[in-house]
Amino acid sequence: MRKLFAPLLVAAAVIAASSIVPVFTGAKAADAGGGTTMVAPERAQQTPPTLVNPAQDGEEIDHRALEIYKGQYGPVDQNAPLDFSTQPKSVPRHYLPGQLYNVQVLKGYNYGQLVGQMAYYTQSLGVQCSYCHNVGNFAYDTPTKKIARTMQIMSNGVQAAWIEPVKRDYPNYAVSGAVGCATCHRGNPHMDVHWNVVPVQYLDSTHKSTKQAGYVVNSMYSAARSLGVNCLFCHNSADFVTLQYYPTNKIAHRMWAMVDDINHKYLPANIKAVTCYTCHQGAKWPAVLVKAGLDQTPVQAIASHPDYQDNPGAHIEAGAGR
Amino acid sequence: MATVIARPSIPPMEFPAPNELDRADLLGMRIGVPIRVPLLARFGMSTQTGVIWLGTWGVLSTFFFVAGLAVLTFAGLQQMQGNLPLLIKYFANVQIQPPEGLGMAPSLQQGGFWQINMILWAASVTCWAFRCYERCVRFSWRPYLFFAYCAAILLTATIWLYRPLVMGSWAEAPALGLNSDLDWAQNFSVLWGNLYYNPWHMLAIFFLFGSTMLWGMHGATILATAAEGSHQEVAEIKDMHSGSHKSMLFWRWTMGFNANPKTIHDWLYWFSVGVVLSSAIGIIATGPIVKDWYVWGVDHGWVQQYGPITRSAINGSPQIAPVGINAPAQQGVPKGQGGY
Repeated sequence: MRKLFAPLLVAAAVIAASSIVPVFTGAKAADAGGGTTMVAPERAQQTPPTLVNPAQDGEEIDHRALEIYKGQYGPVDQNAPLDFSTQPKSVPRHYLPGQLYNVQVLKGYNYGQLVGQMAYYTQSLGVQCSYCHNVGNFAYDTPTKKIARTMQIMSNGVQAAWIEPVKRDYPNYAVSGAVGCATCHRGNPHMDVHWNVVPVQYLDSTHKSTKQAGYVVNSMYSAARSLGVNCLFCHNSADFVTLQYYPTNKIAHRMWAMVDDINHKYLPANIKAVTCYTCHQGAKWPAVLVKAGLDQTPVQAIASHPDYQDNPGAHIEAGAGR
Repeated sequence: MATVIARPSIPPMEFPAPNELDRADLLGMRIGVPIRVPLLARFGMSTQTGVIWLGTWGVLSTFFFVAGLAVLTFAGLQQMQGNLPLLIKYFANVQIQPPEGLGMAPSLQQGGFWQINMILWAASVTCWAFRCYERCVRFSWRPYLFFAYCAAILLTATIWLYRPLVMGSWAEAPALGLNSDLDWAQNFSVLWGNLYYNPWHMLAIFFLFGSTMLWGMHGATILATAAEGSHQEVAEIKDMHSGSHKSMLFWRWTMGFNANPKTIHDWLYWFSVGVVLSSAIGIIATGPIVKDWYVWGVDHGWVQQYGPITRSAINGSPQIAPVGINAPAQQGVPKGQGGY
């Protein structure tokens, strides 16, 4: 009988060996091509035609792309020669004291208000001025400065387009405060991706297979852990699909669309870094909010701080940024 | 004062003559040597191990099983980039996912491994079922073992084969893996509206718990009367004051009725088979027939509608509108208690 078993085992080994061949060839190809590729930050399509979650269907989050992101938009090289040919016309070669140059987002701010806002940036990200500015020419546009502009636009836009409507429609669930830099950054210039969530189209799709429903369920676990809650915070456990009438459920759906909006509008296509955890970090309400009135953006709120005229950094010392 | 009951004299069991077991068709293809392992007695087994009957179906089944294990191993290895320690570390989390749609998988990574494994699995269990049937026939048994094994195959084939065929996508089947099976049960229940409202699921649980109860009663009874020779059921079944007779008396006096040493196994057999049969019916009905078991229960008036059904169920099944006395008032939950 050993004579009978031996060819069977050999045949099994042959099948196994033939199946492992693409394993190593594929791994080598990935290693060879991955490290030096520069991924262009192209915009992704707003509505993917098919329900394929890239993070789940074999294509993981490109952590190498995140590394490139860090390297490209890190602290500014102060010794690099200034190239004014690539700068907007509002960047001068010579300054007049007391004047503001190349202010594109924080328009209407006087010098003191602007310095206060800059101090809030440095406090929120834990960096110095030189992280974004060329200290020899503060008006000069650096990559990090452009990112900071985008982030400020994003902060204002998210507050106006997503947070304020929720506060208006669900006042029982609103907390005073607004989204600021520190809401997500909390002292770090970069954030890690803790969990990934599926696009919001997954939630609205009426044609899901059980496999695709698994992606949604995993994302729900991600969201629940991000908020420190369980399923029953938003769902009636009698039926997770059709009984979605809790206000928390509806708010969560809006927030999910907001996450998708942020990832598509303000981030490069290869970095879908924003999840529920980015802001919530384990709390039902993000622990770090800018103390703002409901009709004010964070920037306006900071500028309207009662102690602001005397001490532009008062809002930071008072704990508004924490 | 202990009462001493004299044991009745039990006639020895009648075994077939030794030469009756020495027929060629019974002894035919056997492999291995008998080895006495006394330690096995500690674990409730006979001390002899070895001598396996080797049939054509057994060889084929073993071959397909080993081949499937090999493919599974290398599929998992590939997910871990050929890193064996990593595969061992995340062994429970490795998933071999099925492909989308009913066609052939585009590649080994996108469902090909899964399809190969399912083909090998089907071949292996089919050969093993034939082996069961062949042995039963050779022993001149009625093929109860074969029927029971077919029932188990029916449930797994319903989950992995029949329902995906009806639904039109292999992605309806569970991925291969430890955690992925549990994930599939969760996703399946969530997607199709809480399987706890599936009456066939209820029936399967009834059979499952019922069979555990019957097993408990039967096992406890036999253990309790083993000192009186009740393990010799067939010999004792006709004798007064034997262990088996006293077992029947015990249950008749305890709950008013009783099975006998033969019919208790009928009960156990049909309860065990009923678990998988009713499960298979419940699985195959979920999706093709019933889109949402909770809504199905509300439709049939035996489940309370806890709130407005705000979203149509998946795959466009007709939904009831939240009207009438079943429609609750839309009111917010107090702050701080949201959802609870």
